[in-house]
Amino acid sequence: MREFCLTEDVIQQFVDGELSEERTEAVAAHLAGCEDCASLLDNVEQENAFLAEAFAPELSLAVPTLALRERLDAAIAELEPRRLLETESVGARARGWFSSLFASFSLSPRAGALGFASLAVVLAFAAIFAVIQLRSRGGDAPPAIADKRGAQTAPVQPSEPPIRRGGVDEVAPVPASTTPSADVVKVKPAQRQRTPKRRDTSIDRPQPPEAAQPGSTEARLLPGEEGYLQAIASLTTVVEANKDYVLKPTVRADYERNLAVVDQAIVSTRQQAKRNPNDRDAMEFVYTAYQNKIELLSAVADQTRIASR
Amino acid sequence: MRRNALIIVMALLALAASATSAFAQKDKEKLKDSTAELGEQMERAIPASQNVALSVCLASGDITVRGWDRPEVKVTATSLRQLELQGGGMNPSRRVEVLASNGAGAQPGEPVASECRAMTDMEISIPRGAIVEIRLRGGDIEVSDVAEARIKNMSGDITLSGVARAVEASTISGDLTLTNSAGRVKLASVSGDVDATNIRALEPGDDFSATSTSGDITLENVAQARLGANTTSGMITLTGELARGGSYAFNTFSGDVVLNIPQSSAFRINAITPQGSITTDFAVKSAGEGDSQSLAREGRLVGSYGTSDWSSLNIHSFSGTVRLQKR
Repeated sequence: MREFCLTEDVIQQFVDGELSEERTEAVAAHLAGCEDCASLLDNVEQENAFLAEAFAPELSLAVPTLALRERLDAAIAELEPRRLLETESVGARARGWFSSLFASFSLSPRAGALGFASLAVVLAFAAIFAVIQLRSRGGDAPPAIADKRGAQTAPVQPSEPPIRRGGVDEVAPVPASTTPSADVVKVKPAQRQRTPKRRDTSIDRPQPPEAAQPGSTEARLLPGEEGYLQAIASLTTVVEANKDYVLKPTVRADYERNLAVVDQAIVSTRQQAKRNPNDRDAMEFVYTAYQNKIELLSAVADQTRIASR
Repeated sequence: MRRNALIIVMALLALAASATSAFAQKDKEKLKDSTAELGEQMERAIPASQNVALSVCLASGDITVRGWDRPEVKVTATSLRQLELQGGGMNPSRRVEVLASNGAGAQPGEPVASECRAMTDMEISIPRGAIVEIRLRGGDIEVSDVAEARIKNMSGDITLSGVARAVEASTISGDLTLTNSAGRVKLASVSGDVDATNIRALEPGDDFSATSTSGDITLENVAQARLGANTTSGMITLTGELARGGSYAFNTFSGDVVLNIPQSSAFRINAITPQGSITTDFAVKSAGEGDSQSLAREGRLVGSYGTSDWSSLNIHSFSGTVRLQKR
């Protein structure tokens, strides 16, 4: 029995990204199998794109509406008297406090002279004490600098680069800090261990490595993971920044689904590698899974860059 | 005297008015040349060299490119307000950019928008030696009988045939099909299938690479001596002869790898599938201790088959099945 077709309202909500994640998935699945609905989706998307282009100059202007402007003016007008009142009352309170303070120091000339003399002696002692303290601290400074230098020159343990088995070429050493380019980023495992950035995502999918979880320690990273995680974080930033308004809903659903697939691969291969820490093949499966994720992200980032021009 | 001065002033005013009118007419003609009513079919042509580099960037629509024998680029499109072929280099043009716009309100002298926002179906005829570069956000692309194709599509299928020298094509959501082509090949799809049939190498260094995240990769009669196929959850199938001394790398996470190769093949194999299995029709001579069949059952097969001119097969699947079948 054939499933009912989607209404135009539902398709419009789908295109506008107004449906829940579950509903979006369900609609995407239906669209994949229903030619009529897919055709309707095409129409809606084309209409939207046409309107977006036609109104692009108007939409790009940041002009507040009349109603908004009136509301802003009213809000500002309401705030002004209140602010004046507050300033006034604070000023009056301060003046009262200072006058009461000075009133308590209204001494006779003799008592005043004695008081000032005592104050001068106290200040002199304080100055001598401060000079002694500064001199004693100055003597400790060089060791602190020496420690810092020692830390900077500590040797960095290099890790072994992985061999890329999936493609024709082996993994080329590309610094992880390199800006992701249109081409696939190929990553060499990094030499130093750092806590990676966590990707912000609202989709429930297998979280790849423990290393990507907040609060994880550097020791939990597998050798060479850091470079991949940095590249992934960098590419993810590019994709996440653009995907919602550049990728069509169907493409976005495809992207999320495939991201879940590669994340699952990373989780599984990583577990295997942790169980067999001396198994070189197990590690290479992990590297391959990471590289696949990078290739996926690179492809999508590349497309979002083209489309956002 | 005063009368003469008046006549001169009047004559100058008349000259200025006629010149303005002539320029306005010229602008109007120019605009008319590059604009049209929506729905009307537009056609533009420009003389081009045999190895012209053509670039097109559209928001949506289907694009068809065909190689022909005329030294000319011809573009036909519908639903556009403006269409221009911007030639560059020498005459005939060595570079041609297709500029298209659906936008209204174009003024005389205003250039055609080129921000990849136009939506139209487009047919392009181009010299066979051309290099074609296409960027598209949504729609199907078909290219045939050109020298090189570089294509990026966000969603939609890419179908290529008769590409003589090099192919580089990628799509996020769509299938990729390449047939009867030659040279360097790089195909990538995120969720679609990748199929390649009858692909020749032009030079010994030509390589072939196909990747997909969840799509299947199906290769038939691919002759490049350096071949790599990589998918996460899809299946890889290779059918045809192995290149003598060739190097093959197949990688999947959960998909199967199936090689349908002739009995006369000669290869050294390194196959591993820690959570899958390996089956082979070939009596592979094991490189280590134990017979190849029992090792294969354990998910690892390292050995050789045949006597000389071995190809190198590196197959890695984390949980899929590896099958070596005789054709």
